[in-house]
Amino acid sequence: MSAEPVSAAAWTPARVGSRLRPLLTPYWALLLLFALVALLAPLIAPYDPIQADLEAKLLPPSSAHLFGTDENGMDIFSRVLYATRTDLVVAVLGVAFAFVVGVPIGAMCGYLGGWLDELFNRTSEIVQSIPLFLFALMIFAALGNSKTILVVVVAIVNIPIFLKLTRSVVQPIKNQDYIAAARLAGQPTSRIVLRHVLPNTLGPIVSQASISAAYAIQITAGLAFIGLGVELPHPEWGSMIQQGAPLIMDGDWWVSVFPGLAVLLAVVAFGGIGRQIARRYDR
Amino acid sequence: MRRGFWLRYLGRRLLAAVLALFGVAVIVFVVTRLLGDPVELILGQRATPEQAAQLRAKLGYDDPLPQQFVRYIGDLVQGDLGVSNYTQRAVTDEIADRFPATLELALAGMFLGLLWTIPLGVLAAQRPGGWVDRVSRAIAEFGLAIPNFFFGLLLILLFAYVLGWAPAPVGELDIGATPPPRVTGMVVVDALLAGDLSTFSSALKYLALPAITLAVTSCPPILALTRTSMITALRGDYVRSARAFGLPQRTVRWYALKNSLVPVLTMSAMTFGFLVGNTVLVETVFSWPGVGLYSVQSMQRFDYAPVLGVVLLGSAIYILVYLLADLISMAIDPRVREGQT
Amino acid sequence: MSVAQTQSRSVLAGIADDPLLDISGLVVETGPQRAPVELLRSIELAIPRGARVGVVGESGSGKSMTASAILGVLPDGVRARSGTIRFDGRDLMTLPERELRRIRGGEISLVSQNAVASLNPLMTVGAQIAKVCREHTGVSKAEAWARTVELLDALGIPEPDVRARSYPHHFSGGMAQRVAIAMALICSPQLVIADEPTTGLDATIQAQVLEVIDGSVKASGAALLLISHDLAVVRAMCDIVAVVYAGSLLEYGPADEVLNRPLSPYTQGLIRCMDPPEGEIAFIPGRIPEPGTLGAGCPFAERCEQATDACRAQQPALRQLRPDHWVSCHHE
Repeated sequence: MSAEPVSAAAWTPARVGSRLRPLLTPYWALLLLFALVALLAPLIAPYDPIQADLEAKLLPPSSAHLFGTDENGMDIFSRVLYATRTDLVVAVLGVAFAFVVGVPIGAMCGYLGGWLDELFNRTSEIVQSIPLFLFALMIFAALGNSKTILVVVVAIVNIPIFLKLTRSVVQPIKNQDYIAAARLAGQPTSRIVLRHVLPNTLGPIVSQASISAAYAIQITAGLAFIGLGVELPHPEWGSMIQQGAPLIMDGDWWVSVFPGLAVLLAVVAFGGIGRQIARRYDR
Repeated sequence: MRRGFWLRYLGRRLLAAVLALFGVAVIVFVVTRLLGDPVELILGQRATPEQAAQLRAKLGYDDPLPQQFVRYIGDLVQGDLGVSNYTQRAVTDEIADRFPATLELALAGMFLGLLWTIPLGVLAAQRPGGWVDRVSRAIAEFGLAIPNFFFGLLLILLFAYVLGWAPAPVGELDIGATPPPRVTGMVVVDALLAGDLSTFSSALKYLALPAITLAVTSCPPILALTRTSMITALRGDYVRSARAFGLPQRTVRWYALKNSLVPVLTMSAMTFGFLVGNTVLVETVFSWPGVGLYSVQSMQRFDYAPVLGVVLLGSAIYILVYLLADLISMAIDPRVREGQT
Repeated sequence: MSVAQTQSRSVLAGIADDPLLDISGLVVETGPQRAPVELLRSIELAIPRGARVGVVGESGSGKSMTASAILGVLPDGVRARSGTIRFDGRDLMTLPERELRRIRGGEISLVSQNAVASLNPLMTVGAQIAKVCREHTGVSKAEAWARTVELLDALGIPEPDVRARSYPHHFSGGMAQRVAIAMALICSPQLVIADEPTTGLDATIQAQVLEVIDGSVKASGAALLLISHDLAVVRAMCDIVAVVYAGSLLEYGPADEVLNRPLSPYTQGLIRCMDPPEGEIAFIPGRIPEPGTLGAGCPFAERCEQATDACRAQQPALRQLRPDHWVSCHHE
């Protein structure tokens, strides 16, 4: 973290640019690839992802079907491409929501302390004592099975993480001189938090956001694997893996492997970026 | 003084654990009765309005919430987790039948996990940046990034289908095989206790792949932490001092390891607690008859009481394991002990 | 003694017959092999048997590095490139690790600056000291414990058998230093190296610790190598003084000589700082140079009032200008 404090006014284009440039690495290229695929899926995909063709069931990878076909004759390559949209959108939305809720609350808790802090802290701890997947099952049980609930689950699971993280980076800062100066100048708490406290703590939080997105993709795929969140035949990596699972022992490996690799690569991309950002701010 | 201190500390921590569990129960209550419709939860979505109203009255969901809550807590304390809609058996019994399988899997996964992460972490710490370090970090990154259920499938593809070394993923034993007489409920242990060596080896073969899956995908954080703790410990002044006094390398290494144990132990405990509650996907892939698979099956059958039961059980175990880790680190590090008084 | 052997002895060795320790031409460097950074530049030192030698210099002069080099516990990435460290007739630079381990703690021991940090926080102090004892003498656990308690008692630690069962963080500065001294003396070494033993302690405690070191070293007959940036400490404790600057030895001789009739401008400056003339605050202008930034000349040339071109061009050799009193300086 740089030694001098940064306030929101200092986010000039030059500064942002110099911060971004060293971050161009393979991870970013991978992420860009996924983003492009998500955007341009309809243009790149050779087949309609939900068009069944029972003549072409379970064909191994070939030039006609890059990733082969599944039990319904649907082209797996096209489905993997389209599924990028689903998985990425759910993960990013869920994390964004958690970020928007968790970070301000965490900042307030860290800055103000007191009973508010105690309350949220304890609640977060209790929520985090519940095993992740079981918690997700419970939410689905109570609220129904849909993609919206999926996003809600991803968000709820990540809110405590952002809350605790923000709280822990805000606490050491709140006693620093420039914060005291702002307080003495009569600035309202919310303003102090937004313009002075947060910009100096963003590094680890953004890093966490990226890492959370990585895990969110895993969670999404995992929940879809057990049938939660997405209905067939809507293309989604997790449900595609699930479709291919019984076929492994028959040797039809491509139905599960390609969507699985997609998940792996997406997680590696987001995770790698998150760790990279963390390393930069660790200095 | 020591005896009194330990008892007081234990008491305080137990109380904290109970309160945490209470908090979990509150959350479950809030989610299921306030956010969801509990009757729908029980009857599923195919209920008719009359059935719903009838059940609502019968189960007391017409009553004011505080009363419901008190009844709910009362039931929990007595170990009543409700009844499975599918089998009409008590959820507690259903879970008790299946929990040993999950425990067995989690223990095996943990055992294998520690077996690969701690030695590698120690070795990597002795030469940071060396090839052991880089290879083990790559494995750890891979293990964390790959979805555990996908990794399980890959293992099945390679070892069961291609190589034929492992059996097909049908559960704990061959289909149609007779399980050993039930003592602990853990097939591997029971087979051993019964002296049934062929069942024992067969059960081990079935346990291998799912346990490896858990070990590789859930334990990488232990590797990273062991490495970091050891590096910090090895840099400590007391290490240089020990060397300056001519103590042999293995003693010096042991000094460093002991000092890195506390965070490693805490993380291992947390991982174990995490494992027990998160075997859902791995059990599904391997048809492992534990509570994870049971909760998925129950979800698919719209039988929600078991799911909630497993949630409470999983949370209880996590909280308990965390408490145990705390106690052990107190036993090891005198400074932690004294921070508490 | 063969010619080769005599040549590898330090010139300083002439101060006594058969000194216990003599270091000659020791070069310690760090950094990449192609472009090394020298931390100790061909340093010399001699310690007669039973003598007390004080090594004085500013922070960063290489004093502690010398101690690490003697014991062979240089930090990672730092290596002793050349020179000899002759201890009791053996060259420590050429001994195998096994032999070195026996010497460390057994014949040469170290009292570090921060006693609490140099002890293992998870073991009782008694257990640690006894372990060192057993490692070098092979006595039984009970015997080692008995010796430990006895030594703690002799060093003035009250209730030694109770305190021996305590953990390092229970001890305050002065008591902790006594524990560290105990660990250094438990095997009756021939040489005790005390590296800044009183730095960081309160003034009153400093005096106590020095007294303890004084008494115990005298009682055991060991030689003492006392490293300190504090001239007053060295003056109080040592018979011989060595002045080190930026990895080189600048002056060496009996304490009385060096401290009262210093030959090196640097020593003169140090003494002025310690005992400034009435009403003045004395200091030596400038700062000690970073390792690797020095040229071929005398390391002190930049800050020396008397520096000439000759001083900047070539490092002066150690010359014995008075009986038993050496200095590295171009001037008389």
